[in-house]
Amino acid sequence: MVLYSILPPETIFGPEPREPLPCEFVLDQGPARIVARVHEGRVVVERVASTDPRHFLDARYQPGADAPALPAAPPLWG
Amino acid sequence: MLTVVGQVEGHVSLPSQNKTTRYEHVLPQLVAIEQDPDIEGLLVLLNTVGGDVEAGLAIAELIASMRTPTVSLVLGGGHSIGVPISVAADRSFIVPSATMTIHPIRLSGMVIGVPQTYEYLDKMQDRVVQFVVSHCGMSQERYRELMFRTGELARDVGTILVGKDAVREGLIHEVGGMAAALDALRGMAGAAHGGESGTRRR
Repeated sequence: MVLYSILPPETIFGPEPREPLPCEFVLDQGPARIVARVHEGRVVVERVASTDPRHFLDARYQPGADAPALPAAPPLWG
Repeated sequence: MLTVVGQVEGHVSLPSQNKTTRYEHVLPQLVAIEQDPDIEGLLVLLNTVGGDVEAGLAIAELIASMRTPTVSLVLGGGHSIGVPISVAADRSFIVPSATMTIHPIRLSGMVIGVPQTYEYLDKMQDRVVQFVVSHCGMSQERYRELMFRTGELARDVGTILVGKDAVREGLIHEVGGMAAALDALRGMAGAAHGGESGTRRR
């Protein structure tokens, strides 16, 4: 990666590496998208993965926008 | 309207303390804007400290190759990789208080001390310089002179251009704010509707 920025790398990257947020791929009636669970059950759009460019102009699916709560994952057993 | 703010984020996600502009979202947005018959023009607002070279160049190239009339307005700062994005629009504006820093690119992370590293960096630098000088009124010699100037930045080489200095150097078209930028965009959109080539540069 080549950064071309007036900020020094230590300011950009901080002292410790960031823990990746738990993400899930959502396929429903809306555009294909990746959502992240941030904290206290809040789920936000991380990235739109649609092939339709119009979806990228939709305010409901901008990165960081609140995404509807996801259903709880089914148990692996039982 | 498109905002380019904070760091232009590349292939590596930046820590959450950074405000970022994500290329994987902006590039499809530009495609959607270009394809939407109801969108008559695009205003790009910049207040960026720079960021990833390839992500920035990708955004700049898409803006430069759009048929939709485009105007850029530099507010606060349009530094580093913000420079090619600023000059990519058909018409560029800068407010009097905004600044643009022209300086050499640098490598982050592990650097292998071989001549090829310098050649790689030099080629990357050349891509930025070529894009900028082919989309503004500044010569390559003058751009490189400002880029490698010493004594102006405290811990770096380069030059800070403030508002009217950026216009005097030929980097940006005009000093002006929102009204001027929107007037220019309306003019270009009207000319495009009238079947004329309008005020586009290329």
